[in-house]
Amino acid sequence: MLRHLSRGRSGQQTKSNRQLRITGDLQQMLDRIMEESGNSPDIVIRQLKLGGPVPAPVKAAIVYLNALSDQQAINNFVIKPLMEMDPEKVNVYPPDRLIQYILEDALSLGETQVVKEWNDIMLAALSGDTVLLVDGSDQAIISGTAGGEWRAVNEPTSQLVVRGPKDSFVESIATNISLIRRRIKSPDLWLESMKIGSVTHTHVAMMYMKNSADPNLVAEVRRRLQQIQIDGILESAYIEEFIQDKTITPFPTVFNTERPDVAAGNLLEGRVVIIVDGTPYTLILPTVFAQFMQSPEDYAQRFDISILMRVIRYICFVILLLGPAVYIALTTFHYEMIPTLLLVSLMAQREGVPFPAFVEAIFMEVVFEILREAGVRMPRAIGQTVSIVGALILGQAVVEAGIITPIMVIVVALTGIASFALPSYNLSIAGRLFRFYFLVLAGLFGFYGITLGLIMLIAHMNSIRSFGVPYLSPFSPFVPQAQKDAILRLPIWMYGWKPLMSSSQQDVKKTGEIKPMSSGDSSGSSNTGQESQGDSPLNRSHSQKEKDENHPQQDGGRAQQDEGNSQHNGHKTESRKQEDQYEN
Amino acid sequence: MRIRGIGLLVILCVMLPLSGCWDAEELNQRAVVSGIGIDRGPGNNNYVVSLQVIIADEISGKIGRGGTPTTVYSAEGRSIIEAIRKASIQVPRLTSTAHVRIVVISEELAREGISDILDFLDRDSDIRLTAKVFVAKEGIRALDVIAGLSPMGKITAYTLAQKAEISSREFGANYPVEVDDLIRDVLVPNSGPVINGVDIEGSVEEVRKKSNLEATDNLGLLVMSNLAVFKGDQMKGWLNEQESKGFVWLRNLLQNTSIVITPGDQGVITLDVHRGKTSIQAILKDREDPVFIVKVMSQLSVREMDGTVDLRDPAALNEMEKDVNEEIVKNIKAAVQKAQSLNSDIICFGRTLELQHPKVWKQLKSQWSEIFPKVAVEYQVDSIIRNSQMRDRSFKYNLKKE
Repeated sequence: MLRHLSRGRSGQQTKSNRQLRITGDLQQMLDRIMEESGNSPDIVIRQLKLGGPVPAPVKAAIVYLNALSDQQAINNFVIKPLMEMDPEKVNVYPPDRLIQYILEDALSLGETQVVKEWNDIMLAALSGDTVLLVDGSDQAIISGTAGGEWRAVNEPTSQLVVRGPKDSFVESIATNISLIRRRIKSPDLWLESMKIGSVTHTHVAMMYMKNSADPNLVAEVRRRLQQIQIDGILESAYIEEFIQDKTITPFPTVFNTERPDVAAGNLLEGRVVIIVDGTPYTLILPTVFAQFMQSPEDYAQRFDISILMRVIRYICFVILLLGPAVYIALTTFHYEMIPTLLLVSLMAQREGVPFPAFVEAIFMEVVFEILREAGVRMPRAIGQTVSIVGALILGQAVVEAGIITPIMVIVVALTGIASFALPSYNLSIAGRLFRFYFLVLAGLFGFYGITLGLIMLIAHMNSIRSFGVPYLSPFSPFVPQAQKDAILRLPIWMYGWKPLMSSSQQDVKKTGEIKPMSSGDSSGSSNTGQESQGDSPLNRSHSQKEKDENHPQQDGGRAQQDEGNSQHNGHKTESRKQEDQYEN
Repeated sequence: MRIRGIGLLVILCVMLPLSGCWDAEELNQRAVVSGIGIDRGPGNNNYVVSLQVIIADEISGKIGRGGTPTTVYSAEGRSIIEAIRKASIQVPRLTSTAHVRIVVISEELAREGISDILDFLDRDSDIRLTAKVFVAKEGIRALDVIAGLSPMGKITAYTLAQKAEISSREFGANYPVEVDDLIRDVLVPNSGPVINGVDIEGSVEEVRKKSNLEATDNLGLLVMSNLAVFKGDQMKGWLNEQESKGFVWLRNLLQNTSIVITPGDQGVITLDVHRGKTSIQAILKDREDPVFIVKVMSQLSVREMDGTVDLRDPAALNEMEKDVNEEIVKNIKAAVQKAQSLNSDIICFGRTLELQHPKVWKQLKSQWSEIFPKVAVEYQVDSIIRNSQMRDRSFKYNLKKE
């Protein structure tokens, strides 16, 4: 199950193949393809004879994966033009010249590329592109014919709004990029692409606004992405775990969204968006705590209503953290703080209940978590059953049986509802975890424990950084300008020219430098060898930045692109081609 | 990282002994006390402490057995806390006094002195300083008050506290006295606190029975009584109703009261005071002999009238205002005279003098107990009748015309 997570073993194999080049022997190449793919029936090898029979037809073959390719495009724009080539030229040209001729005069496809490496043709074939091999040439032509089925763009499932765009990212990276590009039609929106995963070769794209994103941040993100060594990337969460700052915390330090409007909005605020092929969840960084309390809906409603909603979300977060803990503290330690008549009612409820309030609370919270987990995992058809069992049997019967007090059910239910009121699921998971921590503290020390816990929690949150940005900004450090869009949401015309909330550029400057991934850390990227110990990561990213100035992967600078440069960066060789593919 | 983790653990462990909150106790392990009564032991110097404990499931639970909503445990001890500790031989749960709303002291004990009780109430970390204090009138014990049941409201202590508040708001012959008021007032030289009295109307025996609640006119009922005057920590005597009203005027605590006047041939006229303001001024004609001027301003409304006065006529109103002034002066004068006769400066003339003429006060302070009973007081009352509710003239006015 977790094989794709293992690092190194299968990576070695790829490394050994890296040096392999294409030989001129067509039959040998085809045999090797079949051998390496285990004679897989979905690999289609179509052998062709180009040119006239005199003096001898040139042997060629196209290779593609029939499930991932656009068959019609192959038929019309690859095979057909090949068949209709001028035989006089085909027969006369030497193989390498022939490749050039096919590329320039025959193929009627936008994305084409000449490659020499063996790995490139395998990867292209497995990505759905068509590989054209010509006998006698040590080059191959890759034509972009990737197609196949993807889920259509439909409504987001986890980040819903009443008013606002209804489209959502899908699993296809090309579609996802188009959804963002459609919103930001600016050459300032730059795109870099790379392949991560030594087995899966997953496309990972990184988007940012060249002029508003901090170049240090972009360089740092790029560096961390390049350091990832893993067999497979199946979800953006894999990337998230590799690139986030190495702090032990349940709080999410990378924002994720399945909404293109959120991604676009964050791009405009100077953040970097990472899109991973195969998942609708894109990553946004750096992020701050306040961002998890915001919903895209906030900007679609009147500002005063949005402020109310945000305040309610913060209250919900506090209820989520402290609800049961405060109940425990009040009833077992600080009964004097309860208004007398309420106390009488609570006492009457507790009369005859066998367990201490703490055990009761833990029990109900665990039951609630079980119900929630069951509700998420179960087949949809039996959802009704679980909700009936959960609501009726556990809620009512447990009270009637005198095991749990009714007020405990109220407290736990309120906490549960509060956890769903948060717009961000991963923050509410963190809150759920901390709720148990506060419960134990309250059970041991009452409000004293809760106070200590809160002090530690806030100290901890202050220690978290997301790519150098303090997690609690703009509250701590306090940025007065950014308060316009933190808990408050003032009318948009008051923001001035640029949105203010924790604009990464501003905050990164304030805190000095981006916190690097500590190279000694055993988790995360393990290629300590690449980085000499004395070399400051910041310097490193600076020097890299210079290199990147006219980097071919940067999409915005298409006009100035320099093909010759494309070799200088390891596994990004074929990215030029991908760029074109994304444009479609 | 590991060092930090260990450091954190150490800090956590160090925190444990710091904690002041080791009194974790489940709610169903607590006996919540709503009222405390303190009597003298029969024929000895011991305290008998009675605790009114709330039986929660009789009040709001589904599993009540039809018993009384509160029960009383009492025990005797040489000190109050000893008696409370001793009560645990009767109480199955932890006696928790944080919700004590009333403290009742028997008159006998009050006359002997309450300084010990005050120290206990002040020192105890649970009992709040906002608990209300009462003196049980001669003839009934504090235990009887604590044991009483109330037809309205299930917890007697709470209903008694409410009675103190409501009667001060409606009738104006008392004001709620709390523990911290007592502690403050007890320290004023040649003065002392004033405490609400509580009495039982009807049968003392019946008021504690559940059967008493089954009739509409109860055989026994806890009622607010007049104010008890202390000097220092010892009770000196009771104010009567008129004196109590006058005293509330003097302390500028009046919220609402009614004044009845009988102006000549006009029958009985009742007026409500809705705003009253009293200020006391010390005038030194002679250094040894201060004169106090009590200035009262009040706004009234006519509530009830048996006569045919035309309230549209300013002259008639002026006449009535004069009568009202006399009535108020009568009340206040009675209170002042009573305080002087008991030689307890409950009106705080001494405090007034200290604030207004601190130097003079320093000289007179030592002789204040001799000066106070003879001190001259002048009264200036200014009343204004602001409204007459829904009518100006009574319907009788028209009757007379015809």
